[in-house]
Amino acid sequence: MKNKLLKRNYLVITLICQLLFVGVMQAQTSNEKVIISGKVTDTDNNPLISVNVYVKGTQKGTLTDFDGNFSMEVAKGSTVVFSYIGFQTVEREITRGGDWSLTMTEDEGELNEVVITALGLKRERKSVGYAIQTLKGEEIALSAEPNIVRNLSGKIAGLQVTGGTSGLGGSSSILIRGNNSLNGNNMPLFIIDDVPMFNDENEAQSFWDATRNQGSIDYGDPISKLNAEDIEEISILKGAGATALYGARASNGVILITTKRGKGVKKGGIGIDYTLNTAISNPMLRQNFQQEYGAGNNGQYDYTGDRNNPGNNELSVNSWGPRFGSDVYLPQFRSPRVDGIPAPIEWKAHPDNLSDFLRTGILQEHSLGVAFNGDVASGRISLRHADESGMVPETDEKRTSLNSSLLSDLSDKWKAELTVNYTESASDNRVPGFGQNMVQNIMRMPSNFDMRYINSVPHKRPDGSQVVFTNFSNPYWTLKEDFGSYKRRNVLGRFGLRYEITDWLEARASISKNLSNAEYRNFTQVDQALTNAGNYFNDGAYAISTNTYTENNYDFMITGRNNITDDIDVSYTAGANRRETYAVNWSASVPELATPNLANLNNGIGTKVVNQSFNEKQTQSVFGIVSFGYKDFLYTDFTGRNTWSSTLPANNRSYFYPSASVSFLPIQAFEIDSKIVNFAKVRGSWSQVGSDTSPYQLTGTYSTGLDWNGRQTNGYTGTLPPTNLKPQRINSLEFGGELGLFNNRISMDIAYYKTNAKNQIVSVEIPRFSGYSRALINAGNIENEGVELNLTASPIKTDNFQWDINVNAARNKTSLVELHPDIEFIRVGWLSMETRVTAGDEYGEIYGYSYIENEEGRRIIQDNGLAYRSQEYVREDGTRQWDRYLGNMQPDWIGGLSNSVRYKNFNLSATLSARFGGLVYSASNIENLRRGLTMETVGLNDRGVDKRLPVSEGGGVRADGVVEIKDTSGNVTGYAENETYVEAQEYYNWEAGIHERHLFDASYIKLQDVSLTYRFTPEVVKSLKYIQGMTLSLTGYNLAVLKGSVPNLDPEVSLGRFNAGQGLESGALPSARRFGLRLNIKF
Amino acid sequence: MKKILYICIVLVGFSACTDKFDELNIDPNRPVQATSQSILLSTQRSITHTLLDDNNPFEVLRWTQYHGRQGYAAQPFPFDWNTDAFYNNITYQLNNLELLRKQAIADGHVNFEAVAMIMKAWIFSNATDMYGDIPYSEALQGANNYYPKFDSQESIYKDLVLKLKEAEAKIVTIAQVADIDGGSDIFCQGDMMKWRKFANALRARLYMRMSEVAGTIAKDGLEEIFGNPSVYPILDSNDDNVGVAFIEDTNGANTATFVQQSDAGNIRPVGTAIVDLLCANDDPRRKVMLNATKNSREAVANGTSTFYQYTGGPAAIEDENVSFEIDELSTVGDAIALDYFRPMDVITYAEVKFIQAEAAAKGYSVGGTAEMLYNQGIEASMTKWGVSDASAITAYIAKPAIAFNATTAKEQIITQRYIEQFHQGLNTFAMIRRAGFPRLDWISLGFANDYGYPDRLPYATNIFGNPNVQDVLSQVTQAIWGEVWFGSQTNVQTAASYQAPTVYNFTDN
Repeated sequence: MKNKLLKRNYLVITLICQLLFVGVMQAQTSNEKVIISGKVTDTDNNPLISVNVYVKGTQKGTLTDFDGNFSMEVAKGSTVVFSYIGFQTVEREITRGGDWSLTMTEDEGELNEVVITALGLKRERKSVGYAIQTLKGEEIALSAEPNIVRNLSGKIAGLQVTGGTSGLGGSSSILIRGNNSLNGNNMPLFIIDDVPMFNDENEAQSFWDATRNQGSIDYGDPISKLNAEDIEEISILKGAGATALYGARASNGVILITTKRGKGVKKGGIGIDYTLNTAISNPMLRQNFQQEYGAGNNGQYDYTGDRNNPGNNELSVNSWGPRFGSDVYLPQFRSPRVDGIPAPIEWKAHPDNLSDFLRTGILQEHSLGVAFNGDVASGRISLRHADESGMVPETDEKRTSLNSSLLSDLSDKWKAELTVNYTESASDNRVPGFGQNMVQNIMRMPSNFDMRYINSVPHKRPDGSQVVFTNFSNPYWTLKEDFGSYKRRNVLGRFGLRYEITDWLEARASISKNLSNAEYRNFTQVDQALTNAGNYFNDGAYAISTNTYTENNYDFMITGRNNITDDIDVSYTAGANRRETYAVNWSASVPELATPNLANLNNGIGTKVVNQSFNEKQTQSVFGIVSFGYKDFLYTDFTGRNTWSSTLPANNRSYFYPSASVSFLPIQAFEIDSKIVNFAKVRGSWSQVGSDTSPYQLTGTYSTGLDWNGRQTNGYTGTLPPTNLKPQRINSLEFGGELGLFNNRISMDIAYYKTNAKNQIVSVEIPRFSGYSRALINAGNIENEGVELNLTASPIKTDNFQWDINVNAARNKTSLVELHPDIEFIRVGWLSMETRVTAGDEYGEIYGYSYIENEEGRRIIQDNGLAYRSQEYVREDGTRQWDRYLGNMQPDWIGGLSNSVRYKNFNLSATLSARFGGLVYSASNIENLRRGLTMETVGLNDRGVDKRLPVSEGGGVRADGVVEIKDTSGNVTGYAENETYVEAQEYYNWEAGIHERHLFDASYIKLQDVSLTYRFTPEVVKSLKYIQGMTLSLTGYNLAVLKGSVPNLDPEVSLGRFNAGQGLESGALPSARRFGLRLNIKF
Repeated sequence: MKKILYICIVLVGFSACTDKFDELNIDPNRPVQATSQSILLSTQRSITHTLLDDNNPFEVLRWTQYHGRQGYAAQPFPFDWNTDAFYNNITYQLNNLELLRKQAIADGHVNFEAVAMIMKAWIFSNATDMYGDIPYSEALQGANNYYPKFDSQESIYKDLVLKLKEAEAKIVTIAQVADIDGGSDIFCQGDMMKWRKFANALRARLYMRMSEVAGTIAKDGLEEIFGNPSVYPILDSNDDNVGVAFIEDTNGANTATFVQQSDAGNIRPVGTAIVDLLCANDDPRRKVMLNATKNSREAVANGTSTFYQYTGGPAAIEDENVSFEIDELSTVGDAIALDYFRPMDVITYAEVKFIQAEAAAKGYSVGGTAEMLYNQGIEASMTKWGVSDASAITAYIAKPAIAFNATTAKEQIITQRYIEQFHQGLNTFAMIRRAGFPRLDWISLGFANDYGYPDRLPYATNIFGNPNVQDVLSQVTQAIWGEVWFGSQTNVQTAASYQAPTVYNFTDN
């Protein structure tokens, strides 16, 4: 029996192959031919250009010209279809030749709009029982910012974009409906033309490892390299109801990207599309630092210029040194040498060092797309090349992509699809993204140094030694001698076949692959200056790592549709998926270089360190969807999926998860005839999603190595292996409503949701005296509850003038309903303070040192004049509070406002993005204070004396607060005003260690983007031969902070893409403001 | 209908083949099992770096005044110092040793079991010396107890000595019975008799550390060990010294503590306390342990001076405008600093002699007079540090300040032990807190004005992740103060005011 089945299976495959390679059946016999012609106009009598006019059931057709005219020969009796995006499709049965002019009416969206849902299934918006929001490719492409992720900011309700404001090619994080996961990544799943994209820049980072990536480079995730010009449409599936069929990979939402496929190209024709995008970037904010004191400590700075015998404070990067003045002369880096000794020269401030260092970043991007509509196949191929230079000198990135999307009607039954997307991105040099690094050093450089002088002198001496001027490396040494480069190639490919079994049943099979290969190299140059001991100051280093990830998806699906009765439709899909992932990573480094300048492992001295790891995983799934439609007002969906995962223990390996949703249209149901309300929908969905974990988590393993004369060493894992690990579950409930008023001039979408993520597979930090630093457990019930509102309106809509508004707002609350019977709280982020989740509380609590206040709210000051921190203060009962709750980092509301105004051929649009509530802890501001850069570190104290003068001369700072008066047995009997003055440097250094002081309101309102587009009139275009359409746009991105309270920083900051970074800022780079010009020409 | 059949076939063919999943989920990167000797080597290698030669104890080397300062620092004792690196590896290696112990029990390998117990006791004693009360009785239980309670140092010490005794008794010294690969044991090279001596010496050290607060236990324990050398063999010559002997291999070299004191690395000055002790009495160990200042060596070489100068960096510098050039301060002697393969001491014969001498001085019956044992200790130390001139040793012992004096016996013995333990940061720090000696230089600055000599190391951040820490937090003041049990009866003797470092002139170097 089995053999027979196999044989039949084989027959099917043979049949498929034959159909593919041999015959494409030609049908269509015709009898009498007639010529039809005419003009297609809209309701305002404007000609419609490029309307698709074709014979139904064939691909035979034409397009209307610039005056809206068409002419074609058709068989009498056939049906001709007129279709045009945004208009209702019209069909005419051709009974005669001659004039068939017609008026097409605009499709008012909502009712008949088709949206793309999970698994690429197209559905009418009205029948969908969950929130889905779409954006046209044009809205994304029309920006000075090439990273499409950043361009979603402010445009989608409930979508929070943070990070990556540094200008060149970094990643950004998106959070849809809050944090679902306690550790790792909360980024949504990106699916491009039905292919899931691997988007982990670095291996997933655990929650307390926020600092692990400090000093490393954010090279940008693969999605940030995608060509925005290729995008037809983006669908954002927010809730688990929409994404249940993908499993929990999609538990953070799905962003479905559909690329252009050459819509609207006439039969046998081609359409060529060229876009030039060019943009410049400059810092958006200027730092406001004191310009009164230069480098040093305690007012002292001695410069010798001898690296082996530096002067007192010569290596200090603090700005607590001598006061600038036209009468102050000191030996400095730019001093002339007299007998080899630096001569005293004027000690003065150079306030423009950062801008003297940075340059204008330039982006140039060319995209060429060719769409065709041939006899056998239609589709689009495109090529994009972008060349970008960063604001930091010597930094760059190149991005090239090839995209092809082909659809072929092999016969009237068989269709084949092939999409291939190849993206290559590379950089010869990128500045470190986080933490203490070169740009940070320049941002905080004491202002006695003169960047223009540093620019003008070489960074390297002929003997190969570095020209240094303080404790950190010369920036041009770092930029020109060292490098951090990368090269990544990402291929997404999908081959799919569709077979129409009958006119109500279709089968689809596809194979898709994603291959991502990235190579990272880090080189540190040899600094041949000699130390006292005769060694080089820096022996150099080199490291290379390569990560290769492959994912294969095999999908099979059968989809059908029937009318059960006149009133009830049913559609159904059954399918199976097999997913295989394989990753191999290796890295190698050498600690020292033999020959300077040569970046190769073979040039290494000392022990080469080589690491390698493999990761393999497989899941298999079967799934089904059944949808019922009753009349035209009630729609329900039921889905179910069962997955088997290789990463879970055998008894928990198989897990099932269902969902159900309903959509009800009261206007149709109750046959309401309202002049005001033209559309109304009530929807609801419930779903459960299950998911697995990464491979090899079930058993504890030993590290392995050779040491000590070649003998083996083994150390056991620090992560406690789990017992009976279960799949994770996310239960979600969503209700929503949609309303269209005044013929959809105003439309609204409101959603309420509640999501509970349970049994999370999470690696939690545990007290190490348990023997382990972390435990892998099933834990928790994270609840996300929120509302989303999206309002679109067109207050004015005339022939020449139109004004559209979109307002969106979302509120989300994440809390931890329960954690684990044995685990009390989890640290989420970690700098020197921490963010936590505690069972029963909201996510993102910030804990750290606070001030201590007495009953009257006055700060209690120690006898030495410094404020008490919670860590030091002993209460009367002998207790002490180490870390205190300081606030929460979650925003109360996030939202956006877009306005678009069209006047004749001009279109002006602008987006504001906003966040209200929540706190951010800014480590950058602490460092600025510690180093004596902030304005508060200069000026007069409350005695009217310069606070930087010694206390003995009347200077110093007196903390505002009280000291305790104690009796002989040490009990507090009262308070006295603090009268102790403390040296300014000591005072502010102490204050820098009080976390409470460095929490800022993270609220902001930003002018996200502005664009002004001119669409050349048909008359102008017509005069240019071959050109069919042309638009010119001026764009701006990240233009201004209209409201924000984090000093010296773009408030839209974050440490990284993972939860660890949320609410903690450290080492933010200058935020880039971009201006662009976009020219689009259609041939 | 046939078509639907085909579809079913394809559907079935797609899924339902999960038999290979178990195999697929076997980690290809790391082994699931390890031999006892590879675990032992791994922990010994790693923990010695943490406790003996890593960068971490540097701050403790300052506290013990083996190191001095070159310039002003607002915090002579940094209370916001992050000790995570210590703590993380201590707890990690303790767990590896616990796994080793269980594996040895399962294998019936008593010697590995005993070795694991001794190693654990050594590490736990270091941990409680650092942090005071720590989890002990409920520690290392993995999933059975995420939040072990904190035990008092008193109860930990009392149990550690029992564990050491129990472990020592388990050891089988017949070579064939239970062999440990000598190459995978860098403490005792697989020599089980040496493990017995190590266990007893360690036990003696712990008893002595308890002596100020639990005199009876200390007395009984020390009398038991030193009274029955045949039952409780103990380090009997410098050949018995337990130290991590390095081998000629890049990975195996002693690359940290001493080397970083040399001209080849980041040079740090030695402290005034050790310089004064070695120079004031013309200690023969001076030339081994210290270098004369670089300036004076150059001056002698140039013929501009005839004196080699020795001077240390003070423990704290009062005035922010004072700073010292490294070239005008002494550094660790090249003889040891540049000897990359010099063993790092875990416990030495000389230390055992000083422990025995102190016990005798306390009136315990440990076989010998305090004076005899003290002199033996000095000789053993001199020999260990490479002083071969017997007459120089005799002359040193005869000096009035060195010659045994019953009224200052404790200070004399501890002071000699302090010299012997040069660069054993943690061991010496614990000794100072327990004994109150040697007399240290002025440290009073910043918070030290209020609280004096530090009592403990700051907690690692992870310790706060254990809610039971609330039970012990009240013992801690300003992170590094709050006496630990064994030091609670002692005041550390420190100078009352700042003294500029003394410059000692010698004609030899």
